[in-house]
Amino acid sequence: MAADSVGEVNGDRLGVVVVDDHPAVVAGIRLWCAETDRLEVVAGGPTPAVAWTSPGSEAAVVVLDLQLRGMREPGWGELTRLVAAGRRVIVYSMRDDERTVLRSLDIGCATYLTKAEGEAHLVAAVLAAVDDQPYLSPALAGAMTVDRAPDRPRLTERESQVLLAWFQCESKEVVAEMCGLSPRTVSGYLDRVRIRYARVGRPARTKASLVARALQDGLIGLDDL
Amino acid sequence: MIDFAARLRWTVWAALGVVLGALYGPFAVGDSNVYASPGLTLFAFFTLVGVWLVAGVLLVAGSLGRRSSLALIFACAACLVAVTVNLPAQLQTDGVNWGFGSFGWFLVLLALDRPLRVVGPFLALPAVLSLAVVAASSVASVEAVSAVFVRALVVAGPQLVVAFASAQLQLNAEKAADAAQRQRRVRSANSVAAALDSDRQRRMQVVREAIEPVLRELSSVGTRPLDEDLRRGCLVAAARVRRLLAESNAGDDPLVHELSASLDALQRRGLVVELAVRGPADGDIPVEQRRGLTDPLLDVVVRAASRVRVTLTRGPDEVRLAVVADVHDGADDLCSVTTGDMREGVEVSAGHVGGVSWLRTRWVR
Repeated sequence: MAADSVGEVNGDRLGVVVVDDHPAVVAGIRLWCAETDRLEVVAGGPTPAVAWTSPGSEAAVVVLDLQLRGMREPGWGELTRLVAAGRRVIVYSMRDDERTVLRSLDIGCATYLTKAEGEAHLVAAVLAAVDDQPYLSPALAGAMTVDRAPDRPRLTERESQVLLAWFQCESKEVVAEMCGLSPRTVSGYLDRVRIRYARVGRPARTKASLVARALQDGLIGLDDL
Repeated sequence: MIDFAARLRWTVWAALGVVLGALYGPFAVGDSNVYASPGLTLFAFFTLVGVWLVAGVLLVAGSLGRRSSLALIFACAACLVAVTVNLPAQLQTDGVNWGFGSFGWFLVLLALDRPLRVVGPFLALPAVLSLAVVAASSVASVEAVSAVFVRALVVAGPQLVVAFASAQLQLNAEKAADAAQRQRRVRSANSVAAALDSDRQRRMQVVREAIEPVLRELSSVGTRPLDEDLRRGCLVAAARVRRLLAESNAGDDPLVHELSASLDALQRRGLVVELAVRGPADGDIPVEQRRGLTDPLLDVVVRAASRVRVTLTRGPDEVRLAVVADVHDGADDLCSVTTGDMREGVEVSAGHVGGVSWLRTRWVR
């Protein structure tokens, strides 16, 4: 499912499907996407079926609430099926514990956002996902900061500093001030961290696209592979 | 006392062995023709020897309980009855009545932990049985009865002395143990009271440090309206007091509990306060370091105009707290006051950029 061929609606706009059992959340995302000139929510509903049936099945990005009403556990199976089908999935959840965040990442979601992170991060994350570019939310950064899994990627000291600062302040300008870097360099470090995680995670189309795009953009070199 | 009781039991057990083997054994085996039923009395004697052996085994195993003692005492009493009723009246006070001399020692051995008022009357059982046999015989006389009494006194006297001594020592030991227990309780209560008092004093000192400057300022205000610094001081003091109160009932994650309590006081101002925690719950951060981590953050939070983000990350090597807030007034004071501070081994760093102030504390374990 390439961004330039699938998911387009109304000319240049790209489709987004929202799986969330709170109508207010669906309505909010619909509004946020409408305010951009590239995105449009084509379907939204309280069950994953909305992502598998038209027009949701043609959407470029799935925004998935991991814990829908009636579920006792996060919907790992649904996330896995969507990722396996080559869908770009952004997990958008109330849960912010690092285990849930890191497991979602490992399964192959494009990024993980908590609902507290709101409009700015969600829209940016969706735009990054459709372009196969990395996006690292502060919630994801926080989980990576305390990640002690034996197979976690090795980060440089600078990458760890930037990651922690990003989690702490959610502003690249402030991170730049804290770490004595430019905001652009901060973004570069965060993207590299996201790519490192993509490379150690389970094989998934989203991750492959992320790494390929990172190579094209010069974020990583062939030697890094 | 436990050692003494054990030693006394072993002494009585050994003495009984000598008495049974060297004193009464020859009578029981060699003079079996004097008994009305030699087979029965011989069986009774060896039963008594068996009781002695079983008592020894139970003593070694440390399992001579009340039930086993009672069962063995009944066995001894049965042996005593068997030998007493199988002897003629004129031999009741003779050595062939091995039950008369041995029963009391078995009683002392097996009921050493019982009060003297319980054991004492049973020591008279051999004499009572012998008197019954004498009384029922044709040779009953004052001399025969006197002989039984004399032998009872000779035999039961030492047994009573040992039982009495044992009971007294046990009583004294129990009193001593009670006294020691009371002393321990008093010492524990004293040390708990001292620790509580010290903790209370420490808390009071911290509360005083937080509140006194504010109260001093307030007393000098008079009828003037409160200025911004004083208002912030009041808020910080309130947050610290709430945190101190939270210290007394923290669960397995005291830092988060105290942090929430501090922020709660400030949240009521209408600030949007966001607290994000990463890393496992940690109950091992000492209270001084928890204060060192949280206190500097309050200076930023009280200056926030509308939004505050507080983050806590905990790893095996370090704990980091950070606050980021939109601060419009007093940001310069904040940086000069806090940057580079060290408190209880906690590093503090702060900065301000584009209307956003940040402050970070870090404690390396």
